Amino acid sequence: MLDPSITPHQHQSIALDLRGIRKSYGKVEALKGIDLKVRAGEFVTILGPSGSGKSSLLKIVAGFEMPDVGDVLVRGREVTHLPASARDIGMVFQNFALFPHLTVERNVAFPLEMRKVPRAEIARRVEDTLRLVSLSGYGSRYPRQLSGGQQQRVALARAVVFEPKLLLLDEPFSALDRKLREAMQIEVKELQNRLGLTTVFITHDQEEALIMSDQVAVMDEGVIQQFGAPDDIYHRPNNRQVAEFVGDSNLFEGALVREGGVATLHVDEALAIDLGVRDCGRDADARARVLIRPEAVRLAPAAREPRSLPATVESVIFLGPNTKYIVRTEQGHVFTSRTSTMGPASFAVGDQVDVVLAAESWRVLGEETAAPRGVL
Amino acid sequence: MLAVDNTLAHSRSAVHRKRHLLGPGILAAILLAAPALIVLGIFFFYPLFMLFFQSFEGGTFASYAEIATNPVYLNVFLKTFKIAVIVAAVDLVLAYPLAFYLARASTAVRALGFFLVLLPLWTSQLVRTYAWMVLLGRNGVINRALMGAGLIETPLPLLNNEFAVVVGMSHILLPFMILPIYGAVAKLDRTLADAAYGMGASHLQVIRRIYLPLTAPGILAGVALVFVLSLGAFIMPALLGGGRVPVIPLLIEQQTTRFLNWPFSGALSAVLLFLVLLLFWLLNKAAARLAGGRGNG
Repeated sequence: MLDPSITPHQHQSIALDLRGIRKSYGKVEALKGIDLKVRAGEFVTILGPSGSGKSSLLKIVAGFEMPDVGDVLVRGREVTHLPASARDIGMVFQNFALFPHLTVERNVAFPLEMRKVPRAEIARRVEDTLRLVSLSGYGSRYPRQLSGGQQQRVALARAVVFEPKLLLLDEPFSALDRKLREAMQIEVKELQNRLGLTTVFITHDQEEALIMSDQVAVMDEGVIQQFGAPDDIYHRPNNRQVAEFVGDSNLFEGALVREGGVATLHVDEALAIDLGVRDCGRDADARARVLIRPEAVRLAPAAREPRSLPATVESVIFLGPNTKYIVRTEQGHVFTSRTSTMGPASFAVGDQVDVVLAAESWRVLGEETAAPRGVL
Repeated sequence: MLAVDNTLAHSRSAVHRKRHLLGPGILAAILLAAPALIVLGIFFFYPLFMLFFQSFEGGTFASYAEIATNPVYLNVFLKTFKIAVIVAAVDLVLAYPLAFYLARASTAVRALGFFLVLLPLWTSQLVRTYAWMVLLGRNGVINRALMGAGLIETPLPLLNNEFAVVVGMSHILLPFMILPIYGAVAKLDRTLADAAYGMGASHLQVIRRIYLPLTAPGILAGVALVFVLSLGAFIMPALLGGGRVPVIPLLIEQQTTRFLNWPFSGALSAVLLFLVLLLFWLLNKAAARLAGGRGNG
C-alpha cells in the first residue's frame, strides 16, 4: 500500500504533504501552486491577509473542497479526493461550530459515535478529554450555557478526542477578547505539545503566528511567500509582502552600488543608505529593496552624532512598553522607530532628532513572487 | 462619588423599566389589540359560543351521545383525521427538500422560488380546486394524455375520491409547510454540517443527527398548520371528493343547511374544536420538550 517513492523515514516524519495545489473559483485563481510539508508533531501556521488563499487551502486539506490540480497526502496516504468524513482530521472552526442541541458531553462524543466506538469507551475518553481541557463537570451543560473560552475548549476537546492524524485550527481565537485570546493561545500550544499533535493553524494575526508556531508559511496572492521559523520570517523576510505583513517596516528602494565590498543603496540624491560590508548576491547598479525594522532605527537628540539624518518628529504613539515615533527627514523620507519606554531618550512632536541607522541591521529583500500591488 | 452615581443611575433605570412594563405598556397593548379583539369577539367568539350553547338544546347531551355511539360519525372523524395525516405527511416530504434548496440557493433563484411557492396563495382556492378537476377528471388532462400515449385503455378513477382530495389539499396547503421549515433551515449554521462531516459523519448521519433535530421546531409548526387547515378544509373535499369523501366540515354544512339540525352541527363543531385544541396542546408540549432539550439557560 505504501508509496515506494517514500522512504519509511519520510513516511513517518511528514504528517501533511501538499504538492502543487492549484484552485480557481471562476476566473479567480485562489491558489497558484502550493507546496508545503509539515513534519509530524509540528505546529505550522499559515499566515496571510484575507483573500490570500489560506482559507481555500484549509478547505482543501480538510476535504470540504477538492483542488483543481495537485495532491494532498496525510501521513503518506493520498487523500486528495477523499471526503472530509474519511480523512481523520480534527478541526476547530472560527465560530466553534458546536452542536447547539447536544450537551458538551454529546458534542465531544460525536466523532467517537461516528466511529462506532463502544459506549463505555466513549464515556471514558470523553471524560478524559474534558479533564484535559479543564472542563470536568461541564459535561451535561449545553454550549450556550458556556462562556466563549469554555466553548472554545469544547471545540478543541471535540477535535482531539478521536486522536486525529492532523489538527486544523481555523482562526479559532478571533471570536475571543484579547485577554482570553492570549490565555487560550498558551493553552492550545500546551495541549498540542502534550498530545504531540501535528497542527495546522490558519490566522491573519501575525503576532499570534509568531507566538505559537514552529514554522510559519506566509501566504499572499495564492502563493506561499516564505516558509520558515518565526524569527526567520521576522528578521529575514524574503520579500516586501512578507516584510510588510509581519511587523512594522521601513522599506526603501534604490540602486545598489558596491565598491570595495561595501554596498550602498542610492534611494535618491538625498538618501544613500550604507549597507556595510556585504555580499548581496546582485550585480552592481541593480535595483534593490531594503528593510529595517523600527526597533533598529535609533533616534538621537539633534546633531550629536556625525553620521546621521536630521529629522523632525511627526507623531508619537505610546504602546505601553514601547513608544513608536514617526519622523520625517529634511529631504522628506519617513522612518518609523520603536524604542523601549524605559529607554534613555524620549521625544515630543516637533522635536529635532537625528536618525541613526546601523548598517548591519538592514536586510536586502529578494524578488517578489507575485505581481506587485501598488508602490510603497 | 462615582459608585453612588452608578447605583443611582442603576436604580433609576430599574424604575424606568418597571414603569415601562406595568404602566403605559399594558394600556398600549390593550388599545392596540382592541379593534381585533372586538371584531373577533362579535363575529367569531359570540357565534361559536352560541353554536356550542345550542348543541345542548333541551338541556341534553343527546347530540354528543349520537356522535359517540353512531359508527357513521366515528368513521367520518377517522376519515377526516386520516386525510389530514396523509396530507401533512405528503407536504412534509415535498416541503423539506425544497425548503433546503431555497435556503441554499442564490438570491435570484430564491426570489423566484418564493414567488412560485406563494403564487397559489394569491389565487382563489376555488379556482385552484377547479383546476385540479380539469386535470384529474374522467376526460381530464391526465387521463387523456395517458390514453393518448397508449398506457391505459380506460380512464383511471382520479376524481371524486379520497385520492383527489389528498392531491388537491396537499397542493393548496404546501406553502404552509414550506414557509416555517424554510425559516428553520435558513437559520441553520452551515459549518455545523462541515464540522459533522469532518468528524466522520455520513450524509445520512448529518441529516438525522444535525439537520432534523435543529429544524424540528419548523417541522412541528408546518405539520401543525397543515394538519389543522386540512381538518377544517371544505372546498376541496366538497368539489374533488364529489360527495363521496365525507369529512367533518361537509357533515357540519349538511346538518346546518340541509337538515337545519343546529344542535347536532354545534356538537360536531365542538368536538372538532376540542380535538384540534387537544392536538395543539400536545404539539406545544412536544415543542417545549424540544426547546427544553436545548438547556434552560
